[in-house]
Amino acid sequence: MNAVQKQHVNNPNTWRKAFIGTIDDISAAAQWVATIAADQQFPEQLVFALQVCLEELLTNVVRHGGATSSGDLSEVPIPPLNVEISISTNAQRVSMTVEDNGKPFDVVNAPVHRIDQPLDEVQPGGLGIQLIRNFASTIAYERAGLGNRVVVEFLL
Amino acid sequence: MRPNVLSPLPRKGRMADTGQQTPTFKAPVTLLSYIFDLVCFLNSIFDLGREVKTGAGFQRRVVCNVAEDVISVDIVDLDNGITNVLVSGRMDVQGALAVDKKFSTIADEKKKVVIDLSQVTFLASLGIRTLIMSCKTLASKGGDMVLLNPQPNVEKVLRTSGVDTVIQIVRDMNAATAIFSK
Repeated sequence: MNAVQKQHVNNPNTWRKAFIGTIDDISAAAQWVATIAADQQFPEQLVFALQVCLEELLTNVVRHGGATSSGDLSEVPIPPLNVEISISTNAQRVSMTVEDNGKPFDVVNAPVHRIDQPLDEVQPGGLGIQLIRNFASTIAYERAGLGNRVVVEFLL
Repeated sequence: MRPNVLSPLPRKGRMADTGQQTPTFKAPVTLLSYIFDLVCFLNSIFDLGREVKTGAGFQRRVVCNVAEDVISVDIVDLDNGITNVLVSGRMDVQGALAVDKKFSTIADEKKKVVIDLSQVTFLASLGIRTLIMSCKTLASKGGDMVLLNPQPNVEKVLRTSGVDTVIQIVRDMNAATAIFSK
């Protein structure tokens, strides 16, 4: 048993931890996932894909989840956002669930942005959703749990 | 990750090789330590960087570790008018926010900029935003930017998001130089 919280109640390969929706906790969550990945010896590409999806999902929560959020990442969302992350594995796949109590945001049906126009017309934004959809094998959204629940899966 | 500042002055009067106690001059050593700490503090606040004398071919080199343990930026002005910016670390949310101001300054002051991504281990959308906004600033005044030698996973992020359609990705400095010569 390492320092990572691990639940043995329903599934011996499930980890769950709560975070606050701040920049510091995005980094803390990334570190937590990296620790699990190292402990479970996930392939390097899977670790990278997990980190990309986690980073983009949490960035969306912090930027847009607060009731008075201005999108400025240096501001703490009001009210403070609670985020719960769980990781579970089996022989075929790794599943990551991110729940938050922020404003509703359907990442599955949100418009995808990709840079495909001349440089002077490019407005960066929304690229994170494109990255999530490309790095995850499947993605699902529902209004449940704390409020928003996103499940991304990665095939082993 | 390289240290943010020069190695601190020794605070104890023990000689490394012999283990003997050196003559102690506590007041001056303590004063120097405080001065050093003050310089380090000011460096961290104002991101002063350090000017480093370099070998032949380099004009000026400034090392700026903008967020210790996350990311660092090493800026080298080459003789041929190209500025090489070596980024080391993670361009995640924290890293991107840490280097954003530095990149804005580079885009304002330089013209031909190579961003060496070979030491970048992670790139998120906020890091992409930093690259795009800097490239737009450069292009608006007739400059250009190329991305040098990203690691495979980072390159996948760049191509997935379409960055490669507006900022060229090259494998070596010769290819970068050729692009600026066009």
